[in-house]
Amino acid sequence: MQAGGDNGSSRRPAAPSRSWIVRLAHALNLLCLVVLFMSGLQIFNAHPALYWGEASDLDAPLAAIEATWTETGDQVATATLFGHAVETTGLLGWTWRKGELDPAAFPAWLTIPNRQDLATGRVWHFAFAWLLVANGLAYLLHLLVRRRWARDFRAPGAYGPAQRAVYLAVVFLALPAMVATGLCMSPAILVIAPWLADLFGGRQSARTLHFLLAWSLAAFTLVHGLLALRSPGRLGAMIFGRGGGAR
Amino acid sequence: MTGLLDRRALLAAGAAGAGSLLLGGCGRIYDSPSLRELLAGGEGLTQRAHRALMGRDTLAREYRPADISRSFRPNGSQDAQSLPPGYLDMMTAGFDAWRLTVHGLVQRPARFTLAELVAMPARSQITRHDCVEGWSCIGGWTGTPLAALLRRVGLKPEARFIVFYCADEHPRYFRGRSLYYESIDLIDAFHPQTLLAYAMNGAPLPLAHGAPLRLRLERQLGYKMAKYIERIEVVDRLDHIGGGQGGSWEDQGYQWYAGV
Repeated sequence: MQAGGDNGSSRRPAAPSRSWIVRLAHALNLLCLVVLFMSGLQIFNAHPALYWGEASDLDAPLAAIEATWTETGDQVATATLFGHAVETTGLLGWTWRKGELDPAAFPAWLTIPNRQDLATGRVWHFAFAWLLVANGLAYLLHLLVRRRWARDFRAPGAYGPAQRAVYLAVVFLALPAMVATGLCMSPAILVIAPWLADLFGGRQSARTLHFLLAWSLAAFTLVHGLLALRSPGRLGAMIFGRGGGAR
Repeated sequence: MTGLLDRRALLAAGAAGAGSLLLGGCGRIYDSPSLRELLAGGEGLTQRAHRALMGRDTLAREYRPADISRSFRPNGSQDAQSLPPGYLDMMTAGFDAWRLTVHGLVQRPARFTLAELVAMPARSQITRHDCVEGWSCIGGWTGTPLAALLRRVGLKPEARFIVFYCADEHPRYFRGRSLYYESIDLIDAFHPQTLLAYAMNGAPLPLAHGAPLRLRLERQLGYKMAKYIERIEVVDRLDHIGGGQGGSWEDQGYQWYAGV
């Protein structure tokens, strides 16, 4: 029955089976993270600079991507971090789109939509933000009500200590912090809960953290996906329900 | 096992399809009006959630003079190229020729000079201005609370929205065919911090920030805060004005409710 378990790992028990709720929540979460990351970069591209504190010191950002022209009319882009500038023409600032250099901080292929369009990026971002929150709450409710907590996270040998720490940090720290810093971008939310931005050092600090967390989650998602490919039993369990898919 | 392979093949095909849809330059998905309408459905949800959690008159945070931003970036139109010919001359003359017209679903339509507005009870506030692009600046504003002006002209019972018509055309003035306009509902119109501001940081409102009169709407984003206001109309619906979406940026796809 456990034909497709962890390859050659005799110490670890077979991959736990996954309920349809967890699998659906996991798939929706992945979809939301991809759309939120890409539409988030679209929103970032509208003002590709980061600040610390409540407001923006427009003359002195912590980090910024700029696209300008040289005196001879050549496109030149620079990325600046803490005052240190690096030329990034083609990679950031001026980026390739349909064979031409496009004044977009992050390239169009990485953004939703795949052209400069803040209004549409915002529509996608907010729709999938609602979906992410609804999905996350449904998943947490499932953990609580069905008492899946112990089975999914604490089963002996289910995960190594480092792995478990990372998963717990993603589910209970990074994703909630992502939502909280995202909420800080809303002037109405900061009327309702001004303390929320204070937690992060102000609205602009929250925006900077939102950006850094977005890239952290993108890196996690990528590494997590690559590692899962090396463990077909677990991958199968998360997609089809049972390790290896053998029924 | 064949079932598994089939399912894996199906999944891979699905993932590849979804991936190419998102990444593969298939930009048409973003132009689908029905999909956009579906996704934008959350806007009403957002507004209702905010309004449910927020008191009608809950104030946006106010700051100390020391918090005022050294440089405050102007939004949208900011110089003569976006304004009709003669606007700078009118400004140089202290806006003596300028009038604010208030009409529509009001009991007593009226025209106000700048001096008359300044003579009305004023409110000053130091607030944070959040632009839709993502940046924030803190500035001090003085102006006539919109509520006071609306009480003076008296609203008719069917009044639902306040529309602000402006002198500027963004990005460049061209025969005044698509002048900037914006609209808000009565809850925001009667909020104590909603001002018709004529001063910024203790000085007359600079041209870049909408001289002589701009809106301050502290619980929403910058693009709602019409500048260079010349006319205020009280209406019961927005679909017959401009592109029908309630504002210049709204007509280009931005949300009418800009609390997020």
